[in-house]
Amino acid sequence: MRFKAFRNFCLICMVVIINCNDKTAGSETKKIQSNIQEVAILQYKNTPSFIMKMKNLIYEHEGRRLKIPIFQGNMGDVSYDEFRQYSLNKKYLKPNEAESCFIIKTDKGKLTKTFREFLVFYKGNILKNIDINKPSKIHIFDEGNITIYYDFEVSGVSFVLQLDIVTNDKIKNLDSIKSVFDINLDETLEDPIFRYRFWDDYKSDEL
Amino acid sequence: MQYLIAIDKYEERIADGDKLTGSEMIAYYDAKEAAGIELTIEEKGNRMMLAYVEKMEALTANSTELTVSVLEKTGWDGLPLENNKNSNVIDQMSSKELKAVGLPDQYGACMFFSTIYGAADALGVTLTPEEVKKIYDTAKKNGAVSNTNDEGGYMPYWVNDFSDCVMAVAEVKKVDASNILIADKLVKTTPSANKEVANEIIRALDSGGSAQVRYSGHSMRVDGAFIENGVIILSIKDTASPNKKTYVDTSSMMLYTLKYNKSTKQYERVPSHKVITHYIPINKKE
Repeated sequence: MRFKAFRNFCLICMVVIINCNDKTAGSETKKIQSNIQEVAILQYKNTPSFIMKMKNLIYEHEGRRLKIPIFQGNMGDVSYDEFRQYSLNKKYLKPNEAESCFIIKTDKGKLTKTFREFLVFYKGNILKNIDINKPSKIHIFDEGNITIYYDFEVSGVSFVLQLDIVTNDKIKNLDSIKSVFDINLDETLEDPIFRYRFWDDYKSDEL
Repeated sequence: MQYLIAIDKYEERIADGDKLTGSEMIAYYDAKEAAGIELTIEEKGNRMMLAYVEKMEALTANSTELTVSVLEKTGWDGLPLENNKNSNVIDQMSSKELKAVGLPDQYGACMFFSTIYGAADALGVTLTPEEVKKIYDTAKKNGAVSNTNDEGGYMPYWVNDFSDCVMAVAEVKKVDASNILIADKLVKTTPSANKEVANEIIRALDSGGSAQVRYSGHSMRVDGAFIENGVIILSIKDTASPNKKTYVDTSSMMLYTLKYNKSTKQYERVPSHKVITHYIPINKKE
């Protein structure tokens, strides 16, 4: 009789524990979804580009969570897959379409200053072992357009940080760039922005 | 035996006044041929015409309005076009490759390279890096390339005259370029003029020619076209990233590259923020 009561008690406990765990999981899922506030991921001018205000973007590789801090972000973490699903649900992106880039928008006259702050921010984390003045690759295009690539690794996984800027300087070739910190961005742009993008599991020579 | 049975069935239906569909008529002719019955010239011609109609119907069934319009206007049969005699190109971003043949180690070679490699594709010739240098010298001599901008900046690769650049390729390669048609200057455009751009570029490629597109200050060569899910896609060769396959979706003129998504196990588009501003077709006369 006593054994039966004990057995029933154990069964009830198990049911309660399973129920509680399930609730925890459920509330966690809701929490992740609600983490993305409307203002945290803003579509830029009806394009597949975004102003990202999340604190960290988390890429998942073979069960590992690889955290990439976001400059000027302070609105919690989001996994890359959640970001994609969110953008798809909002119709910011089409199926089988990735983001074009992320955008840093500044006040007029603050573009170069913000670009330097951006470099300093990433020098403090993902680029801490990288010489900012020695990008992996630089592409100089007409009309002051420059693309800068930095290769870096997170837990053994290759990443590339791509920066797209419009400069004010007359840059003829790579020898003209002594320091990336000295590049002056075009402050006369109607829309003062620069662009960046992360390529996971890539190296710059593939881009 | 099975072919004869099939032939009998089709002929009974024809005798009953039934109208066979295009694919049934093709199957009827095929069965006759398989059974050893020689087709008349009229039947052979009819089968070819029906096969063409079937193919076009299949092609246009899922095509967008734009694709159907381009197919109709240009006469392109919708089969993939590829005109790339110059897969190996000088990487315009590589100082080493530019210096190796004595070309100016300066930015902005995209317009000149896209023009001469496009001209070479249209002429059916392949350029070595050394020949590119000779073409540059010839084009510079005839004033087709290099300029000084309003601010006094020297632009060694700026193309002043596209036609003269084509002539420089022909001169170095010793080929006749009298059947090549190219405008003197780039044609201004916007993404909303996609119909006109797609028409012009497809017409050029279908003639055995080439084309150039310019996105936000960067020129690239169009080396082919195909239809994907009913939409015309242009295949791009970019001398800034020669090893990266690049495309243009003509429904929006969106420039994009492809990236493999491990989660979905599919290639997905990565759109570029660059916007089309100019283009120039290189047509080949009959």
